[in-house]
Amino acid sequence: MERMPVSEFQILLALLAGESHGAAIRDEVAERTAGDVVLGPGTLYTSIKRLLGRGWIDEVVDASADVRRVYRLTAPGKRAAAAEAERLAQDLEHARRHRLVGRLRAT
Amino acid sequence: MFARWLFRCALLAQPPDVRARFGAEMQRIFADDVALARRRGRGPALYATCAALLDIVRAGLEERIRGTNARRHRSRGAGMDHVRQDLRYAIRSLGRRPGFALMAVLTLALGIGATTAIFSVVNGVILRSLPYPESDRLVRVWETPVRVGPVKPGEGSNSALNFKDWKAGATTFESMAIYTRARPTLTGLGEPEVLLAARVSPELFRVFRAEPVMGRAFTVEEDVPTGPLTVVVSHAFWQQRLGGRPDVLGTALELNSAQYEIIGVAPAGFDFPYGTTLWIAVRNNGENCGRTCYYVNTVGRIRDGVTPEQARTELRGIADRLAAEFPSNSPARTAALLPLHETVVGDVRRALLVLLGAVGLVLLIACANVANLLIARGATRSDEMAVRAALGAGRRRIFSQLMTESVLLAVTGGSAGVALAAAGVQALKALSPGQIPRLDEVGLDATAVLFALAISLLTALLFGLAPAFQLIRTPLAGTLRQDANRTLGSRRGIGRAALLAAEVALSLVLLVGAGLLLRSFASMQRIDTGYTTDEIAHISLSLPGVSYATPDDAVRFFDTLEERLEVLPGIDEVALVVGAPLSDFAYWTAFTRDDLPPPAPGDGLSASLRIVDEDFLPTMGIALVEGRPFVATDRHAAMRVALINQELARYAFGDVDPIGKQITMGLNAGYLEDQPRTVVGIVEDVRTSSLTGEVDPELYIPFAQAGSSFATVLMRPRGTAQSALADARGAVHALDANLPIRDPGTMRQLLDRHTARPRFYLQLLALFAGLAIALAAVGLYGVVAYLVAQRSREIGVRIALGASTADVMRLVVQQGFGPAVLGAVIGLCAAFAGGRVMSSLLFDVKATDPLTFAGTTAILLGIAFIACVVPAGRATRISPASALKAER
Repeated sequence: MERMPVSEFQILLALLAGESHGAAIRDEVAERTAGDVVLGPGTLYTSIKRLLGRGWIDEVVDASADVRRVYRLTAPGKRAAAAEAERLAQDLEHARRHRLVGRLRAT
Repeated sequence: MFARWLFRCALLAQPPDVRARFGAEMQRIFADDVALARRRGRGPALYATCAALLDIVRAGLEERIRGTNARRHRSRGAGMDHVRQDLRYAIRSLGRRPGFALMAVLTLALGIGATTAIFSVVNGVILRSLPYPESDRLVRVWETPVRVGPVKPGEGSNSALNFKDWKAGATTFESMAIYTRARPTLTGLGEPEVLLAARVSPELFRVFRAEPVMGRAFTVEEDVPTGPLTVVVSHAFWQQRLGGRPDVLGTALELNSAQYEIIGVAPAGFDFPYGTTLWIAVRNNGENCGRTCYYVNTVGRIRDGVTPEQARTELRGIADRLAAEFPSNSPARTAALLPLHETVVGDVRRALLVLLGAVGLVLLIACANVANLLIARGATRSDEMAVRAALGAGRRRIFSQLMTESVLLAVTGGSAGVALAAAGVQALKALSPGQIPRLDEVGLDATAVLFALAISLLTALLFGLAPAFQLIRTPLAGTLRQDANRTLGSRRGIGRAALLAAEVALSLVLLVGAGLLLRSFASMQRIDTGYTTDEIAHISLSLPGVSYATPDDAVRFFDTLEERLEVLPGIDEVALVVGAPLSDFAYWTAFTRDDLPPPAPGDGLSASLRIVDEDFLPTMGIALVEGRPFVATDRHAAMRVALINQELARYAFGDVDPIGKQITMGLNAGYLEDQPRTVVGIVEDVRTSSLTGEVDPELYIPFAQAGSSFATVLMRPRGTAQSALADARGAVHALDANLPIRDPGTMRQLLDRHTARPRFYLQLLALFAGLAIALAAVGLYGVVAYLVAQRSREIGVRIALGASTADVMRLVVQQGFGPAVLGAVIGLCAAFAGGRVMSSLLFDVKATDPLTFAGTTAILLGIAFIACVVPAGRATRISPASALKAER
């Protein structure tokens, strides 16, 4: 299975908290990653277009007549994000076994 | 505006469906980004704009590749394969026609290089923020006349007493400081030397966040007239003159024969005000100078979140309150405020932006030329495209192939352009008159390279899209058949004619601009200053107060010096002046007419003041209009007298005869102005403060009645100015060996300095116009020559059927010259409409000057005609027999 591009994964993560529009998604990603992942306008909307195409997110029809489109995570999208997270977790586990990163602190 | 346009261009890279569906939202995010970044300064804004544009283009291209793959191959990696394949093919195809490739790359390199070089200057001088932390909060404030009128100077300065109240009262400011220029003589460290120094109040270093890297800044104890003598040295001075030793703190520097203790070393690179090597405490003694004595410059840092507008409003309130509290006879003033950046670059902004616009036009012409080349080449390639299509290549694939070639050309041209720009920036720095602020900070940096890359891609779109569309739109099946219809009347031909017309139009706009500057420069050269500028040599002397304590001492020194100079063989006439014409230095004084009741507070009169001896008017060749000139007996003990110029007579006296009237002046240049002065004569108006501005009202008083310790000595030499200067130097040092000679030179040099900037702009614009014409001529020539080659068979047939040479010439020339005439008409309209941006750069020439418009149009059409006639001449020599054989 092909790895998911970072931009797409981050958009899915941003939508976990609930439906949101483009600018808000982008702000959330920038904030959560402390500025590591900044989605430019081009990257943001081409990614959204692809995610829509795959049915991983869909557009919410908003009655409030706001021109901004609002997006929502779909069940397949959630599964795809989970699969990607799982793969990342495996990588992380591998890295940890080779002492590349510290173990999670017990909470 | 421009950003939005760029955005639209970048959006073209996105597939149409994305564009339609998300274009508006992308634009909103783009605008938000840019607006947010703009708050952090121009540099970040520019960066954010470029980053967002690149992101849109990159994501768009990726999406297109993905889309192509998905539809055609449904296999991974094919996109990259295609790109690689296209690139390989592009290199091979361009390599097959090295002449074409070289021509295109060279044209683009010229356009992109020139644009990048000028952009570097604009970026370094105008766009980039000043090199101080949070420099957008730095402002200059000063007192300015409430009413505009003849009260001009003092612009930029204020009273030291008012400064104290401003500082105490202003809540919108974090800190505020004053500074004045000083030129102390350094002795005891090698040769005596005059250094560029600044007298500053203790807060200056805090305002700029430039606390000394070693030692400390001044304290309030040092800011009083009786305080200890201390000095902060610049980092460069510490390194170069003091050997960078860490133990210099506490040692002394001898300045103007007094010992100053070194208390600190400023951070590297800090040299405000520009070029300062030493800072000494201003020892604010505003008390003896008063509230209408505007001699200090004020700079401040406004608080975070405060707008310049708010700060200005607050200062105005304070200034108005002070004006009510301390009424005075001089013209009323209020507070003025401008961002420091504005005051540094304000003068050159318009001119540099015009130059950037001009060079942008050159780039557009270059694009049109390359597009023309591509279309010409496209005609010969339509067969190739048809074959490729027949073999199964889709239009999209062919299109991407063609665009790859364009991008390859643009990026190669752009790389060469960057190299050209690097050389260009150095050339600009060498060519500039030294009056463009911050030019020394300019270099080809990452921003400029990014800019070059961005405009390279943009140019690829500009010159590549039209030819590519034209090629893929051509009905492929028909192309393999012989295409007999090769004239400018065909669709391809209309495209080329439009490009030609555009080139000529753009060239004409540039040519008109250059022509206007040339005319304006010529009239500037013809300005009659009203006085002699040739051959007058001058030096300036400033007597240190330690050895020349009283005005009498100063008068005695300059009298003796004048006597000694007059008998030297190399010097014919000698005169003294304080505020030499065109020298950037002049007193400005308030005065009252004693025959009128005292004016209401704030309603007083003021004028530029020149302190001159009796030899000044004859030496400079300035005529007396009425009354008597100064004479040798106008000494301190005699009746105080004054001369006025015609402008002052008009401004202050109107219809009243000023001769014999008494005035009282507010400024003490040496002796106290404790008696009124009698106006004894009227002098003709001459251009002393600037060449092109209005003539100021001017007041002249005798040198011996002023007792100034500073003066400029003017000398009319018998031999060369250089030998007169050497003589003068000897005479000064014979009188006082420690007295430094300042600013030696000639009046001609002062005059040249005033025309240096216009000359620089003219040279650059003329260069761009020349480049534009050359490109346009090459373009025209290329198109017509190509036509001749394409239609040689038809022409051969016509000749065989009896067409005369004139018929053939007319047929061919029409094809090229027609669009050129159309372009000239469009260009004239554009130049007429766009002339307004030039008007502030022009002197004595209207932006719509008919002579310039007519002349430049004639020149351009003449060149266009020649560019058409040469290949047309070749057409007439076509031999019908060989032409008919050659085709097929």
